[in-house]
Amino acid sequence: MIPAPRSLLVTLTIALALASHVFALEATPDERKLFIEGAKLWPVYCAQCHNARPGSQFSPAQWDAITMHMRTQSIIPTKNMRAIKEFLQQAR
Amino acid sequence: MPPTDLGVQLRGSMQWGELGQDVDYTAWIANGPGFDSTLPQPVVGQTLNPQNNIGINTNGRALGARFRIYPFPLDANLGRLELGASTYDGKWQDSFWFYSWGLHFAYLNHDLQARGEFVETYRQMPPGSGPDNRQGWYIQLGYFLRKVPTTGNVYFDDVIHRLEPAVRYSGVNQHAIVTNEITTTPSVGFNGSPSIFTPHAREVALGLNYWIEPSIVWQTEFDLELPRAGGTAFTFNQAQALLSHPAPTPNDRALLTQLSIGF
Repeated sequence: MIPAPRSLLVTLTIALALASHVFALEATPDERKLFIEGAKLWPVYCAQCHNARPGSQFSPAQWDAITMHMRTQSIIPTKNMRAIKEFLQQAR
Repeated sequence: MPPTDLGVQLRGSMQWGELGQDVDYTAWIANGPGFDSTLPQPVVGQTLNPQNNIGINTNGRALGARFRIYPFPLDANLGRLELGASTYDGKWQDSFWFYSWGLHFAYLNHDLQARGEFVETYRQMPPGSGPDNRQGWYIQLGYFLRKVPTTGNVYFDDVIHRLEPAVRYSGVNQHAIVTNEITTTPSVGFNGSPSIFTPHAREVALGLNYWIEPSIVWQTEFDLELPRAGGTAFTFNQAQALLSHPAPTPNDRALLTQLSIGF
């Protein structure tokens, strides 16, 4: 049976929530540490030059290109930009 | 330093302490500095050539460097402070030195942002002319209105929360200006700085930024030139350089607006 549009929305929301939960459960300690560091760095480092964009604004593939570009522009240390990218790609 | 140049740059960064405590450096070599070669002779007070692309002004090279340090750890919740120093040095006309150095800071704490810089330049002059030294500085404060209480009107609130009022104080000290270099016609490399109109400019600017997108901003400012006297104005009458001492500059006002798009 094909679900009604509202049911579909609820299904998608649950699926996304589960996906985030799965990441939290499956992420290695290093990935979790990187994610937390990125969450701290993102609002401060990005806002030094412009308003920080949320992770939901671009796809993970787009964040690959954007963070590479912004690292060149801002000379942020590689380790820190990797943390910001991890946060932006996962916080969707 | 010139806003455009052609050369090679090396840069890098590292975290030296806790999270947020970084240092970075930039060093480069590029075309040497140049001054307006259409004037009959070099005089004190000339402006540095704004464009320095493939039209090489001298056969020498300029060396530049910048160093920045961020002293506060992120977890200390003291905001983000940047302290930096920079230099740009080279020979103009292959024989006379041009040195410049600057110190700057930038500070961001939630919705408050502040920045400022002090710059000093030294230009060695041909025999018979005194050295061409200058100092310039500015300090600026801005505040994002993101957390202003809502009024209930969605459209009005959206506009207010995108605004950033700012205020800036700036000044320059120099021995002289060259009236032949003064232009009010906007063009690529146009320099509308008060320092080209008067030797000792002082300016207060009241600005309002409207953030259309995170990296697109419509900026408007109202400038107040404070009256100042002192210094010399050079005017070329064909090959003859005439000296004059300008009277106190009037309290000029200007309204400037621009759209900035970052990539």
